[in-house]
Amino acid sequence: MMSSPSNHMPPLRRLFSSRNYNPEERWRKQYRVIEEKNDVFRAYITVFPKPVVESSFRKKILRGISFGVKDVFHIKGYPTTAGSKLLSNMVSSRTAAVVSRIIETGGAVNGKTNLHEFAFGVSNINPFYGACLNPFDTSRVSGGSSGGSAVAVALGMCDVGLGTDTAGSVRVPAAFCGVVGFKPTSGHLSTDGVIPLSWSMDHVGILSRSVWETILVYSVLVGKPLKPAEIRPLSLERLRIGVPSNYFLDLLDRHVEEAFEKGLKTLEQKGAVLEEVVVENVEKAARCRSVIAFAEAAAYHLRLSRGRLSEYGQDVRDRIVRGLAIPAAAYLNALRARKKLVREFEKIFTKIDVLATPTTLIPAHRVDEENVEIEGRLISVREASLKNTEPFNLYGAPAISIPAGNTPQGLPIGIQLVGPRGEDMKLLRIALAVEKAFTASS
Amino acid sequence: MLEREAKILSLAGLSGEDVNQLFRQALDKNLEILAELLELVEDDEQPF
Repeated sequence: MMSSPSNHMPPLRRLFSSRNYNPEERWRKQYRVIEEKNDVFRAYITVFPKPVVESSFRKKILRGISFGVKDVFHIKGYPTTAGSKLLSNMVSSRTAAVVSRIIETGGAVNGKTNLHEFAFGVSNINPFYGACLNPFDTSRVSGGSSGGSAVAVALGMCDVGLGTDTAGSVRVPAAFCGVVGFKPTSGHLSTDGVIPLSWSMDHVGILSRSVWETILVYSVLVGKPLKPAEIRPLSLERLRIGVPSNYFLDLLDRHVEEAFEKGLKTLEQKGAVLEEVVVENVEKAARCRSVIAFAEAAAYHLRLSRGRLSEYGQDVRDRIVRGLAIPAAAYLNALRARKKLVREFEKIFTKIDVLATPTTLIPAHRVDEENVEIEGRLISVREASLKNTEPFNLYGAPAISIPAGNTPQGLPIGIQLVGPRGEDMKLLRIALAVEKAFTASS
Repeated sequence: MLEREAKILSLAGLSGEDVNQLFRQALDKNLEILAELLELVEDDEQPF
């Protein structure tokens, strides 16, 4: 069951500007991988018979880069299930804004990827479309809720994955599957045409094999396209990296802790300066996010389900019931508290350029595990997955998970870098430098 | 209270003691969180 994912696709970065780049040939290879592996990994819910692409794609900036799109993004004329039985027969009548942008700029969409039902969960064990399994070990989860996009990228079924992130749903599967996952500043990428989980906390995000593809695609999606030659790392020399002294490092799996420490040491050797920081009230930010997200999800699904909530998977149904039990005063005061919490958080960036944390407390857990033991304490896999990512959805700050080594059993581990709101491109260029440093040291 | 929670849950098409109990437990927890949140909310300027 344990194996390294066999991604035989040559890295896009090396090919993209060369004469040997042949997108149609690449698509054919990717379709073969889907055909061979999708029955086991369940990365895709719907595979398009041929990619959705404009005929003039070769002349456009994305030049036929292929995308697997999480099945919450509407694409006109194709089904959008959101991973739910409830929507299994629905066909979209419009296309989500970011998907339109991808197609207009030469991207090619080859299908809709699997997710935790309605993006409301972190394991990607989907009772209706199959459990989306980890590419390194099929007894383990891919992580969610954008796990299908992460697996598709890791296995070479597409070049780039599109996901959504409300508590960590891009960064967690990226960490579990050994790929890059980026959640930009809140509102930078439009959620228009995306089935919501929580309209205040949802972020559209990008998953890719390396930071390079994420920078290219993000620059295109925000309307400031970079040419490949313009994608350059920032120097790590004297870069101030914040290492939290509270909350984020309190409880970690031993291998995650070791990988994080090793990663920091590598960055220090490259000239970065480590600064200890306290993120005030961060545990309250996490609870605040939870109140807002659960209440909004309950409000949305009360309307969407129209009395058919019993047809949802049990875990999602139970979360919606918990959301229904949130008093209006709690929801409204959580929204009001957000302002103070964001202001407190942003203060840390007077001392540092970027904050670093382990993305998750654990590597990918087994499919049958509901709790994991860390340092003798039993905690839920949900907490172990989301604890370090969810505060940044409340803060609306850009955050990226990049691979930072493996456990002795070969499971990937991710490091999360977080920047101040609005400084997404700076964060991405730092991530490019960090990725290079980690690759050189491995 | 039982009747009220049953009404909310029936809007979602749910019924039964297990789901009622889940709702009640969640409400208790959410009230605790509400108390905690009140400490974080900043007052608008007050004339007293």
